[in-house]
Amino acid sequence: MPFLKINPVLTESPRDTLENGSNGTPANGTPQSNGSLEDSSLPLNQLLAKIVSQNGPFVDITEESLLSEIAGNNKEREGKQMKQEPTDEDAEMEEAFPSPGMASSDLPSPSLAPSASPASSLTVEEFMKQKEKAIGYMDSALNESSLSLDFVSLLISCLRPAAGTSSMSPHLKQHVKVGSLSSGRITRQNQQKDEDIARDKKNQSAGRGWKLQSLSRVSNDLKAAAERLSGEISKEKQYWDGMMDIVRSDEVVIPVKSSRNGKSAKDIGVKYGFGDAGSNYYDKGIGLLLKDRDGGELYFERKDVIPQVQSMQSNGKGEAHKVVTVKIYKRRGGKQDESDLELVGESDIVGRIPGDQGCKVLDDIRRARFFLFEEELFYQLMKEAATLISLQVKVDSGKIFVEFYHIVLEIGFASAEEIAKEKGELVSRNEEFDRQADEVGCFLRLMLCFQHRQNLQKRRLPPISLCQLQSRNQTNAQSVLMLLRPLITYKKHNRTILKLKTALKSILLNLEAKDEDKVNKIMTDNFRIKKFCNDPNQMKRYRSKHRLSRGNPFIRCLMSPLSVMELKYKGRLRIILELTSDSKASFSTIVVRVDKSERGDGDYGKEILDVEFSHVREVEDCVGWVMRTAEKTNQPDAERSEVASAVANGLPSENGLSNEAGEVPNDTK
Amino acid sequence: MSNLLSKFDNNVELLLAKFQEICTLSTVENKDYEVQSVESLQIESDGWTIIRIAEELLSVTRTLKESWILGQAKNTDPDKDPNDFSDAQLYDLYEKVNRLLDELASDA
Repeated sequence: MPFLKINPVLTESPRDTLENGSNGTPANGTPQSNGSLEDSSLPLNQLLAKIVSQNGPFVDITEESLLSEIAGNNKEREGKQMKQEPTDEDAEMEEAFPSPGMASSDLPSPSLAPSASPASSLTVEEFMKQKEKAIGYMDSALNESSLSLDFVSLLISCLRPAAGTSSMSPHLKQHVKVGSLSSGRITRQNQQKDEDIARDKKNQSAGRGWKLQSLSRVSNDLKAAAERLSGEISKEKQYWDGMMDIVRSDEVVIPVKSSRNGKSAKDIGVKYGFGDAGSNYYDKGIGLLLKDRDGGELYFERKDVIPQVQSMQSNGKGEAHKVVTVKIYKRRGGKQDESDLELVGESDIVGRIPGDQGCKVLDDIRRARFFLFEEELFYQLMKEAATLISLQVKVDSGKIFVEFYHIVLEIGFASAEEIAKEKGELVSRNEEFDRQADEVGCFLRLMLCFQHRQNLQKRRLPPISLCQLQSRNQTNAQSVLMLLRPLITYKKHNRTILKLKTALKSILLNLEAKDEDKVNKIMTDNFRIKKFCNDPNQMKRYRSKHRLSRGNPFIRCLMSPLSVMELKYKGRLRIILELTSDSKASFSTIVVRVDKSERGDGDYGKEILDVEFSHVREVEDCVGWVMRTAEKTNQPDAERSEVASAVANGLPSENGLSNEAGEVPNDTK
Repeated sequence: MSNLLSKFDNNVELLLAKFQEICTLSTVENKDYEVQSVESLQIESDGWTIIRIAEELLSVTRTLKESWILGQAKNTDPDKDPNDFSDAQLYDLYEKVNRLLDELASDA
């Protein structure tokens, strides 16, 4: 502003002179304000040329001429100012505020009027005010221009988004979508570029191929899996059909935990053993029902209780398929020698091994059960035989030998193949002995069954109180397994009966002067024998009703047999022999009772003898002596009583002593 | 039992879902290479899942059979119970055992 103000002052005089010169009135020196205005806009060299042409060369200009000119100019100006002030002001104003960037119409021209006073009258305050105003105008102008720039950018962004957005204000960018006049822009879909379409096409075809591939792979997989699974199903069906056969045949099916190939598995097992039937054998007989991997068929496999046993059995092949065999040997001579024995009979157990009945698994189970029973039988027999040494039972090289009077029973444990092999060597066969051996085997098996049943019944008993337990335990310990024992006991019992019979016969022969016919007659007529009369079932009330006391069909096998023999001699003497063979010990007791009929009419009211012996020989001696004595004395009562008293005291009277009869037994009562 | 039923239901549901997924995945709609390849692999894995589920369903039937076979209580007719003998039978047995014993005891 100061420059602008000073500038006209500086240029005034030449301008004025120019104007004056141009006007052609340099003497008057009245320059035109319009002319001076034009002069000021001239460049300096032109201005100088103009001044020279108007006022002549600078050499002619003197101080006086200049002073007079200035004075003349001042006078003229004062006069002019009176008339032309407003126009001057306008011109001044236009000169002071040239607005190259602004629209000149926007400027409020009247407001500037006061400030357009001559430069000399401007104060500092006014200047500052003016300056503020000018800055305000400039700011608004800048704002306006940036607004218009934004607008223009927005328009450009439609076609050239990059160029447009670069000059856009952040505010606009934020609020208005690029390339739009604040409205959505719809692009046409099918106006994609060619390469995009080609790429999509490629994508699609590749994807289609891949998917087709995986689909076909999946379908193949599914097909294979379906085939495999349907195979599995048919196998499964076969397995369960087999299972149903087993369930229907009343086998006990149980879940079993087994470990095969190092991993434990849950399987279905079958109880083929006798664990639930009362057996105390270690092998409870549990088998596995497994599925054949290939065919899906059910098959049976024994589950071994103890791994050691398994290895043992696998070592000795076929060990599991052994049966108990009974052989009967006969002694050729009287020697107690092994070489003296001759095989005469053999049990036929091989024929009893369950054969095939159509269903393999069931057959296997049946066979396993059979062999398990045989195994246990032999185990129990061995166990029992060890306690029977006193009854001439020997255990030698895995076989049990039972000595009877003239035969030897051999109980062995052999596989069916061995038996078949040995059978070929058997020469002298006796059907009778074969049958007997069979019966022995049969009996032993029956006894084991019975023992099982007894165990079962024992288990069913309610538990007993602890205070009674001790006494009960003792009885339990005593009740050992009895398989062979009854056989031996009864055999011995019968043997003793026979011996006693023979003894009586020989006594009678002596008395009757070796008259066999007579003796035989006496024996058939007057000899009666009643076997096993301690059997409670022999009592009338049971026998008549065909019922058993305590429902035990094997009661006879458990008790010690008691047989009573009665011999009546000539109506005067009645000899009663009570033979008891203890089943738990090896001895027999024979009680001899002799009654006498006073009048020989069969009324044996008088007891003259009641003694107990343990050997047949002693009985024979005693009875023979009594009979002979009775026969000799025969009549007087006094003598008879003498004899009785003598016998009772164990001191036979001298005259009653018979030399033939040998010693008088010591163990008289 | 409810456990089995829920397992069965779940498996069937899953089976159908996987099948549906395969159908959905097999569509080709302007998808990128990457998506397509992943999808094709997913189709295969879904197929294997279907197989596995089918196997599981089979195992359900096996479990059912097992629990049926093992869980049923045996109904035995008391008249036909082999462990129950009538008096007459017992007496018969008694006589037979005695006969056998006598025969064995008597020396041949």
